[in-house]
Amino acid sequence: MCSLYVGVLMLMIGGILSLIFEKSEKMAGLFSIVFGAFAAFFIFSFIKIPLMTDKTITDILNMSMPIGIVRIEVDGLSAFFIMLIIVLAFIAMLYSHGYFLHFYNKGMSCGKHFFFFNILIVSMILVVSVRNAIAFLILWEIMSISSFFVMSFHHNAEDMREVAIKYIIAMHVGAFFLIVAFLIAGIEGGTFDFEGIERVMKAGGVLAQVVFFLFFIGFAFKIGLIPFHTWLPYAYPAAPGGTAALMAGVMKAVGVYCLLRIVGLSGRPEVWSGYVILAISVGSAVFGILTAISHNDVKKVLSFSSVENAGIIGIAIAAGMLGLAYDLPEMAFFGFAGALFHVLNHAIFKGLLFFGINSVYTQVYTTDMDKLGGVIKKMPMTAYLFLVGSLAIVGLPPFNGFISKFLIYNSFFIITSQKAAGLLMGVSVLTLAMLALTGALALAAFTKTFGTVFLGEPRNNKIVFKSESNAWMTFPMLVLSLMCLFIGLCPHGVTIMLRGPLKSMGVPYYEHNLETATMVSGVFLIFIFMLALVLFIKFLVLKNKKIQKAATWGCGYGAVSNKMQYTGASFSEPLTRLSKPVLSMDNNIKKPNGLFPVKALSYSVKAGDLIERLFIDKLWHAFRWLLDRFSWIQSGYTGHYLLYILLTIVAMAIAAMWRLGL
Amino acid sequence: MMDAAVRYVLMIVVALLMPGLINKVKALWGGRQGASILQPIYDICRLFHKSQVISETTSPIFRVAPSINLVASLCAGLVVPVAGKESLIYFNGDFVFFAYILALGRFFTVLGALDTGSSFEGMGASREVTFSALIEPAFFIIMGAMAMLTGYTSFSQIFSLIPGLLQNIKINDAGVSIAELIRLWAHSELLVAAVCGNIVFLIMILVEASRLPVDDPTTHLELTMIHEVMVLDNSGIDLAFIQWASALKIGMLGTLIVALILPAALYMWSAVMLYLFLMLLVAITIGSIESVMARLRMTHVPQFVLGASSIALIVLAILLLGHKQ
Repeated sequence: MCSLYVGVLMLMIGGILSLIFEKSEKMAGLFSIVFGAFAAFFIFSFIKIPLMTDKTITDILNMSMPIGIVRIEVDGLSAFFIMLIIVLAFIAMLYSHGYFLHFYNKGMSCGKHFFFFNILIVSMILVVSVRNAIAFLILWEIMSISSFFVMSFHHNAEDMREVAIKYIIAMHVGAFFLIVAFLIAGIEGGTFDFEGIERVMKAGGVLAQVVFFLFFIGFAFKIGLIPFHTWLPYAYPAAPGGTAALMAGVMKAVGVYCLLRIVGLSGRPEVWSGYVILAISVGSAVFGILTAISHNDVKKVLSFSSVENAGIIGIAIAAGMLGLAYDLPEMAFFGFAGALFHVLNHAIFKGLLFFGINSVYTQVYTTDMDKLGGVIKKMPMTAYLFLVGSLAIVGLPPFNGFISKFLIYNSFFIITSQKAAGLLMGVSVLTLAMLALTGALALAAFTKTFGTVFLGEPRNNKIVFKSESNAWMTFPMLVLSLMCLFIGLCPHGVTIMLRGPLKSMGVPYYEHNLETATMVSGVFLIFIFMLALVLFIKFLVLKNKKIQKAATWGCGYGAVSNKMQYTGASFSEPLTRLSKPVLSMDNNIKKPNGLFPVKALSYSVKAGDLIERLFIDKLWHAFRWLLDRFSWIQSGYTGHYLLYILLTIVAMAIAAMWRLGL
Repeated sequence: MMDAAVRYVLMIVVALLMPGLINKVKALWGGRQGASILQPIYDICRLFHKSQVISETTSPIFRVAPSINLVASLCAGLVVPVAGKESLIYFNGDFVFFAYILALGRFFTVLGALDTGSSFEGMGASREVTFSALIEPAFFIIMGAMAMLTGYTSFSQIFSLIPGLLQNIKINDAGVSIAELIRLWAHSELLVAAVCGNIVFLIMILVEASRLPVDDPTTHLELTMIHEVMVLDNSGIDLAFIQWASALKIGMLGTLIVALILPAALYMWSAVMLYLFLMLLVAITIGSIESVMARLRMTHVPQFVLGASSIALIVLAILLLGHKQ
């Protein structure tokens, strides 16, 4: 346990030092990185044991009054997520340092950023290790607030400030559900230790269901399932440098951890709760990817694809829960294993993609794909690494995304060889179809993104590229790409780490069932070998031939301008037209006027988020209307506020006396 | 193993013949004599000898895309069971791999098209991703339903069982005769499921290999086409790879259609003969569809493609109705 504390301490020291050396901006990042490396070393040496064996490491801290006794426990599940957090966080730290090289001497506060960055990492590591409701909520709050500061790096811009505030409000609405859930569980279970939750959940009945869904909603805010995702497409694009990767990949993973922890504590779930989560997740996956296709800002596409991946992870968790509920242990195994695997994969490739687009952003200060194009010629390294990320996120062989998606697919058709209920069979087949649809739509979204940003010619002549981004930025991307490939070719490296987490959740582990994953990676090797062979043959055939260079065939039309290229919006038009009912597209047409129109005509499409528009905005307005009725409370006089405090204390005292029977 | 490898090669050869056969059927319908069945193979051979013209706009992605597409198709073929025996490689859930490796080929074809910066090719790419996204659920519903029916999850096992399941014929080395097979099929309740499955696979061929009601493989410069326009800028060996991959897709999906009818219990030679005959039938069907139908309007194609999903849902309904708890 000691080395975990040392690791956490190292991160804190790194953060504080970067705050002290804020003035010399380059030092701030370097301090953070050096101490981050130490921290990673210590933490790795610590989590090795709980991750690889079934051992659980526990420590009891006796804190002062409001918190009480805090159990810190690292079992397989915690260790898996600590590993994910520290690996991704360190890589993001390297990237952030490279990213901020572009912002030095511009009045930005990189030192403060690194400070909050490290606080965020520490809070995430501790969130996944504590087993006490109050400590958990405090750390959860620190996590939300530090990420708020981290993402408001560009706070000079007003829209960025607005986004950050939107984020913190959403996080607190989520926290509200968690507080209620933890309070009910704590009071009913008799202790604020997680044992209390276990007691309440295992007792069953309506109360357990209510608590479970309060937890689910609270964590769904962090994970980004619909309809709780609406903060996410604003927050991720605003986050600078490596932070977007940290928020999209790692913080989502923390949310998933919490959900898995609650599921693990709950014992056998109810059948219907599994179906409810499945429905929400399938909705998230399909809605997320369709909305992603309709957007033309790369960061928005990536954010909505995060909603999609949250849905896929949710589908896997739901499969696990259904497996437990129907007594199909193999389905449960594949579901939870797929969820864990996909969380890790998503953190890797989503990090890679956000790094990629942020690298482009540092060169041209835009992420609007309809202005970009042909970036591959200016930034080849970034482009190829982004391509790897795109392939992985679509789930194409031979990269890691396929393996985790394959496990999730497996969880649904493993039931074929077992006796399963007719309902489950029908739902499974339909879920398979929806997963396949999501995959195919993801292909559309990422061919659109990669194709428009990196291929062809620039769509806007005003955009000038300076150069490829620096090594601090390309190196982390290279590492993540290699991870994508390595996990794809050798999934065994990850599957051995799934045993501990699954054991600590009480899910049986079927090693032989993972052989199919190894089998698939064997076929990947065949694929790579055949590809090498075909390329070699092609090389031999073309060796003595003269390859002619010419302009792109324009059907006999020579004066082709690069503005005539297909844009992102036009690429996705057939799909957005088909899926109009679930999208929010604002068409802005300036029609010609009169016989001889003089004013310039224009047509533009602005993509939005239907759930936000129909559901959240309306709710927000209703809520505002309600709060306006109480605006008289805010008089602005200090005296009144003091009076409120006094009244509250008196009310609390009376309540306490009444409760104690005095 | 050796046997499976021979069958794999057989499928590749048959696949290369498919476009020629389809064209011949179309010519006969049109009252022409038509080109030789081997014409597409001649074309591919000639393209191997040609040099290339490459657009200045393109990046290396354009140059590797056709090769990746071809290799993806060849790899997808590894899991397809040919002529009633198991495929070269099979594992649980290999149909997922089949769908995703084909998607890899599609991914690169689309990128290759976008790489040229031509708006024609962008248009084709956009349509390609749309229609292939719409066909995907149908394939998974069919395969999922069949997996539930048989209790297995690989192509080879599913397809060896579907016809066998009909009358609980035991799969053994002795095998059954063709006449017996036809008798079994005619009396089966699962006939509907198999017919629906075949219709879905047929629609998949029309979409994936861009055949007539969806796409017109003979036009080049109309605003109506999908696949052909994506490869406008490819030439030489790359074009050969693309044509080969396209033929392979027809061949593989045709083989799946055949596999659905052809049980594993047949004798070796009658299985191969029956396979060849049924593939010919598939070619004739596609050629006839192309001859008697006009190309659909682009706005109506999604309806046609989504129709496949609803047919697939029929199979699912049969599965659920027949399921006894």
